[in-house]
Parts: sequence; structure tokens; C-alpha cells
Amino acid sequence: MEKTKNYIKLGLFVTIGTVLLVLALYLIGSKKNLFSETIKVNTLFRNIGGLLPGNNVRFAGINVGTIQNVKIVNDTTVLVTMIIEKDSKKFIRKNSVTDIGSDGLMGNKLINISASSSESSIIEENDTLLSLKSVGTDEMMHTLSNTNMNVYDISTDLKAIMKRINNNSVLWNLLSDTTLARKVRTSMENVEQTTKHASELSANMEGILKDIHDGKGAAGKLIGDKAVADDLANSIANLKAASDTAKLALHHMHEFMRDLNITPGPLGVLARDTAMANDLKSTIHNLDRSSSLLQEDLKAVQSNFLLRKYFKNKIKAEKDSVK
Amino acid sequence: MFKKNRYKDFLKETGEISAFAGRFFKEGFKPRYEFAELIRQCFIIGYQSLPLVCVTAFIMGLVLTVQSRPTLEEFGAESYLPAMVAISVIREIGPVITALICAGKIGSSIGAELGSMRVTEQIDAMEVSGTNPFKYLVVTRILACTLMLPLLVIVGDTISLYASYIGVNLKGVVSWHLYYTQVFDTIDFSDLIPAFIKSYFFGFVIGLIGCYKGYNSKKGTEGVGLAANSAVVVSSLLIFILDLIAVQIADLMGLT
Repeated sequence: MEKTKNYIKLGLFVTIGTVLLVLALYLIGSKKNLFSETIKVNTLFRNIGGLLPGNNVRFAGINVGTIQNVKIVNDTTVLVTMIIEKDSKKFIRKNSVTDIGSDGLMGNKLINISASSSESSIIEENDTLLSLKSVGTDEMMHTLSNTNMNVYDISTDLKAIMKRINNNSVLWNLLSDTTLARKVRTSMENVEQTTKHASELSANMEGILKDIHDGKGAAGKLIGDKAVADDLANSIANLKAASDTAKLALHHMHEFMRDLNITPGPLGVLARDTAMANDLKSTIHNLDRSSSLLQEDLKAVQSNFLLRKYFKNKIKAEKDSVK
Repeated sequence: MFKKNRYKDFLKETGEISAFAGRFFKEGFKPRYEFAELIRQCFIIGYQSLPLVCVTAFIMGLVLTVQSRPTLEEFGAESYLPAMVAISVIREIGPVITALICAGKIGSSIGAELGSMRVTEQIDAMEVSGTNPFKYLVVTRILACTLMLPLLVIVGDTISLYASYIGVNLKGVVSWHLYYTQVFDTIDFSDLIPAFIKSYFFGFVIGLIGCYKGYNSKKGTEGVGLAANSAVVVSSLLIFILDLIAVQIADLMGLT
């Protein structure tokens, strides 16, 4: 009796132990899709960045499978074979793209499958999905290093600029000058007024232009009236004729002057001979003097008793004629 | 001279244990099989060790969780607590602690039992009566140890993980569903299978050393104590050595 009891107890223990073991194996296996129906899908990468068989495959952030195998095809291609649950298959299209991500910042690598916007049929066994080049930590670090260098350069320049600004008393005076601010404000007020005037002016101009357009005023007539335009055209034609005549006259004048220069005529001599010019000058001077003397003499003659009567009569006759 | 003798004794004992193991395989596979005695031993070794293993596993799971929390909190990785504890328990702590507990309880009891049987010449009497004492006493005990220890380890792991769940919820709130998902998301076959296989070896070593020490005990009643003592010491040491070998093999096979 006791023996049977012990057997039962042992049987219970063994059963519990075995069940726990089987349960643990099943639970682990179910996570690795060992007991569910699956399909195989491939994808190609240039660099898988440490992806291992057994890593998860996610679609829309949900685990839908695992990596079965990773194989180098050639020097630039790595073939990754994924096992995807059949239940999730219907959501994944042939034009879906894969990329390598990680579970958290430092977590295990995994493959993300992302849906494309365009239409396509559902994936089948052994289909190959397109892949995106993922940004690796190394690449990120490299870019970050470049950025750091740039930031360093910029900060050095900024430091130098700030130093120069601090050492520059002119700028500080400029900044601390209150009168400048007042002047600037006045200038701004002036600018405001000027723009106001400009606005008024442009309004006036608009009015004027409107009047001109309507044919009002001289300018309007000038532009709008056909008769004025004809007159103007005539005037311009006349002006042209006059300018032609003037041009001809100038031409003749030019020829005349040339002749004057070339031919040994009296006028040419008169024009060029400086000695004669001086003589002429002194002659004219003498003539001027002589004429003034003559005037004086004539005044003396007028006052002479012999001729006085004649002049008196003449003045009288002139007065009478005026009356 | 003394040192030389010690080396010689060590080598002699290693050779004798190996021969003892060889004899186990030789006698074990030969009929007639002592099923009734095997099951009795399984009951004693497996079932009767269960309370001790469960209590130890529960405490280990709880303590490990509570003690790991502050360190993980420092890194802000508190959410990794279930995963970390599960990996530690399944891979290492579960099998080794259970094996050590069993080495203490089972190894010493086998050593003392067989030792006293040897001293009181019961083994010789069995030989005379035509019963193969090796088959009846040794093979059944070693086999029972080998078979029962992995089961004890599995039960112990389960208890530890439940204790860890309690430990996680002492200072935080993690639902059972989330805890279980995190644990089984982390654990892989490469964690469970090597640990399960090595626990067979641990069981084998506990049974082998206990039986060897008891079966070959001398010097009267003093020898019984000595056999029990050395059975625990040697089997505990061998458990660690086996663990070292197991981790290297697992590493070579890419299972770490």
C-alpha cells in the first residue's frame, strides 16, 4: 500500500517535471516559429551589420518571424532567409521593403519589413524582397564626427569674432550711445514721413497720369490729340528742314573760312596780319579821338554867332512839328 | 615523499572512479534490471528532494531579483530584470544550485548508506546470497540520480522564475503576462538545452561519487562518515568542473 502511494507520488513528480520541460520547449519554440506554419522569404543586403540567425523579423513593429539563415552570395551581397508566419503572410506585399534595425538603442539586430504605398500581390514562398540601406552606428558616428569638426570650426570663428567685438571700443560706444538711438529714431520718423509724401506724390502722379490718359491738359493733348501730334510732326519736319539749311550754311561758312585762310585777299590779310591789326586798332583809336575833338569843335561852331541863328531856327521848327 | 603519495593517491582514485563508472555502464545495460529498486531510488532521490529543491530555488529566484534590481536601476534598465534573472536561472543558477543541494542531500545519504552496508558486510552478504550488489545498489542509485536531477532542475527553474516574478513585483508593477512574455522572449533553446543536458551529468556525478565512496568505504564506522563527507566534497567539486567543461563546449558550439 505504502509502495503504491510512493509510486503515485514519484509518477506525479516525473509527470510535472516532464510537462514543465515540454512546456518550456514549446514556449521557446513557439517564439521561434518552430511549431506554426511558415513560409520562407529572402532579402538581399550589402551589409547586415551583425544580423544573426534567430533574430526577429518585424512587420509594422510586430514580430512575424525569425531569420533562418544568413549566407554570403558574393563580395557585395548577403542573402538573408527569413521564416514568416503564414498568418502574417497575407499582409505582406511583394513590393514591401526590408531594412535592418535594432531592438532599442543597443539591442539585438532585427529586420523590419515596411509596406510600400503602391499596389502589389501578396508574397509567396521564396520571394525576394527589396532592401533599404540601413544607417549603421559607424556611419552615424562618422557623420557625427564631421558635424563635431564643423561645430568646432564654427565655435572657434565665433570665439575670434566675439573677442574682436569685445576689444572694439567703437562698437561698444556705438551700442552705448543714446544720441545715436535718438537720431536713428528721428531718421526713421523722417523716412516714415518721406514715404508718406512719396505715397501722396504717387497718388498725385496717378491723378496726373489719369488726366493725361483722359486727354486733359497740355500733356494730355500732346499725347491724346491727333491734330497736336500732326502739328508736332510738322514742326519736327520744319525743324529738320531748318537744321538742314543751317547745316548747309555752316558748310558754306566753313568753305568761306577756308578760302579766307588760303587765298591772299584783303580780308584774309586783315584776319591774319597782326601788325595791320595793331595799326587798325591805333587808327580806330585816333579816329575816336579825332571824332571827339571834332564834336567839341562842332559844339564850338554851334555856339558861334554866325551860325547860332540857324540852329535856333532848327530847334524851333522841330518843336512846331511836334505840336 | 608525502606530496608524491598524494599525487599517486589522486591518480589512483581517479582511475578507480573511472573504472567504477565503466563498471556501471557494463553492468547497467546487462539484464536483469532492478526496476523496482530503481523506482524506489527515484522516489527517494527525486520526490523526497523536491521540498528542499523548491525552497532553495524559490529563495534563489527572489534574492537574485531583489539584489539585481539596484544595479539595473542605475542603468535605467529595470525592464530587463525578468530577462536577466531568467537567463541566469535557466543557464546557470538553476542547474548548479540544484545539483549542489542534491550533492549535499543525496550524495551524503548514498555515501553513508552504502558505506554502512559495506562496513556491516551487508554487501558481502548480498554477494553470497547471489544478488549482484553492484547492480542492485549502485546501478539503480546512479541511474535514479541521473534521471531525477534534470527533472528537479526543471521544477526548480520554474519555482525560481515564479519567485523572481514576486521579486520584481515587490518594488515595481509587472503583470504576469508581461513577465512571462519578457522571459520567453529572452530564453532560447541554446539556454535551456545545454543546461538540461549538463544536469544529467551533474546527476550522474552525484550518484557515481556517492556510490563509489560508500561502496569502497573502509575503516569501520569512521569510514562511513568519511565516505559521506568525501562524497559531498568530491561531487560538489566535480559539479563545478563539469560546469566549466559544459560552458566551454557550449561556447565552442556557439550556444552561449
